[in-house]
Amino acid sequence: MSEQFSVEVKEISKSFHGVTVVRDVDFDIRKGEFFALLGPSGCGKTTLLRMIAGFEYPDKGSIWIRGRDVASVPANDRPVNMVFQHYALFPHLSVFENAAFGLRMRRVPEPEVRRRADDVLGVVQLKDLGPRMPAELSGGQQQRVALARALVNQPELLLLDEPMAALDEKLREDMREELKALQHRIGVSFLYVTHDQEEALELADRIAVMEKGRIIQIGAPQEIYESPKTAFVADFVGVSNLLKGKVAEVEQLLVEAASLPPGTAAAAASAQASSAAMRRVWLEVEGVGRIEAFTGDGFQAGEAVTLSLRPERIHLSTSQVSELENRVSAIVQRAIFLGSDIHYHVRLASGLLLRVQTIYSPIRRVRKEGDRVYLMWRSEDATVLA
Amino acid sequence: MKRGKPTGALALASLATLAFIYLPLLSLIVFSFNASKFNARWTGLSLRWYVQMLGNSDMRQATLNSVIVGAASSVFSTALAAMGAVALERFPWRRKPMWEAFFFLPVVIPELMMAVGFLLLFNVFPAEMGLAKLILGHTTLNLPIVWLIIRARLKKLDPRLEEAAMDLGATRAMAFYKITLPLLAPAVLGGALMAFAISLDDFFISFFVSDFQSVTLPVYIYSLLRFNLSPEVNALSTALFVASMLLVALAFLLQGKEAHV
Repeated sequence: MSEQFSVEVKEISKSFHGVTVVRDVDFDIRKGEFFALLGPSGCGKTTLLRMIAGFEYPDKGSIWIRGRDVASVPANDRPVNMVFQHYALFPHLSVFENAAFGLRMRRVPEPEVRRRADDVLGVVQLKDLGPRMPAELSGGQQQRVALARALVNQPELLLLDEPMAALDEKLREDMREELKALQHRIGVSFLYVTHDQEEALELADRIAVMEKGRIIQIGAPQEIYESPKTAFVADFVGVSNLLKGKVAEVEQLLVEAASLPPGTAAAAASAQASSAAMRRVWLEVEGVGRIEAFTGDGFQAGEAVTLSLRPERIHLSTSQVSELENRVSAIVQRAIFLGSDIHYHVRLASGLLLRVQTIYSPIRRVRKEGDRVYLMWRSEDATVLA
Repeated sequence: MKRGKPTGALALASLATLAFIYLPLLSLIVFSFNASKFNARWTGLSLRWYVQMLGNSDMRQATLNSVIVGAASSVFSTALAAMGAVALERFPWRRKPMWEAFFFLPVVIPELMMAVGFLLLFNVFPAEMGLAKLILGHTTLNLPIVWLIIRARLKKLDPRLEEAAMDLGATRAMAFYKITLPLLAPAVLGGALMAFAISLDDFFISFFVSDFQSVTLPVYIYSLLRFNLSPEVNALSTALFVASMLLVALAFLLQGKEAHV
């Protein structure tokens, strides 16, 4: 048991009525870390959160917090607190009493209750709203009350269950920034559950991507984005063109990772796998043709693979660019103007549809439907997945 | 179809329906203020039947009985219904729909059947326990309605509220006492008032179970009707009607208030 972690989750599983919802999940959250649990609805992330909170008990495995395995300890005896999805504020209690509830349950003396509840309301900038009732507050204010209420007992770890779900789009962006700033200020570890990849990418120090009860990948946002471990991660985090293919040829020569252009998918992948060496491979991609790529994994010739290609990594132009190794011609099917970006749907000669994203600039021509273009990308910019 | 005012025929039909429902009631109330001894003839406004009613000691005894039975059965049925609703709603039960059906089935069971059942069952009690038998009978009668009212409120309560309380250090009992109970209060109070009103109006069970010492108001009114058709019955019925309506109105007011929580 180490002092550097707020929680260490070891090999926990949980099933309901014979259906396994969480399977052999293993991770830890460092002190002061903003950790996001990202996955589609039904992936088990909420169950995982509820097991850490103490509302469900795992069938097996352990949860270590402050040197104690709390896997079978009830919620009221765990040093973690939760911000609920729709806040679950006590509707019959004032903002102040909501914030003070945790202290009263712990029989803190009255003067200290006043001081600490006022302090925590100050932290979330609601000091003057103490006498109000929750129903009189805006969505953003309610969220802050929920935060204050959960922080008043100074938890080792704050659990947040999709806290932005109840807010409208514009407010959500403001609250994200506020939440990040708050976490920075108070230094409490956050476990943030969300199905919104943008939220996770923006807020988290590390992200765990969950699928069907398992954690598929844990890493910093950039790692997850640049070198997804599976096609699911590539597709769920951001947008990706997933192309099926087969390994045609593997170069025996290893390439120093340090020599790869920084910021490319291949460089990120080698950092993630902490393998210094990458190998050049050639793939036979269905509907595209022969493609060159880099991989740190030991793929063999003949193996079936998926190539993940981010839309913004594809260069779209009417003229060929010689330093981009991979090139395929296509016809613009649709151009979607989004202000700062332009999204293209393009069709290859094989009929395959790809998505391309370019930055809009008034001096660059926007391609129209029916335009013949070249799609080009560097070998280092695609990721080879099993 | 055009949305707007109802057509003439439809409005007329609605009014006719309302008249059909409320005309008997209205005539009862109107004639309770009639000065004449005969129901059929209106001779002028008077409160004499109300005065006579208040002077009637049998009537006073029946009212007292009704209030005792109503209050006691209301308290008992509300307590039982609240416990039943919370137990069924907050804990996992196998065959929950079946247990729930058992709770509200008495609403559709013919009351006459229940009344006869009580009559048979209560033979085991000594004869002088008339009021206690009535209270037991009425508790059974009220229970499903109160249970439905409290359950409806409980279903609307976010179970995460209790979880939030426990997350903040409350035990399960404390979470119930501090969070669920205060939020349930309007339904509990409304249910209790409803139970009181139902008990006050009940005839079947009271008729079968009560004895001479424990006659309730509706049974007393019925006995008056059998011997003489005094307008005092009108006054008595009107008073009972007003009392019931006040109780039900209060119950609805409490239910309405909870919607704003």
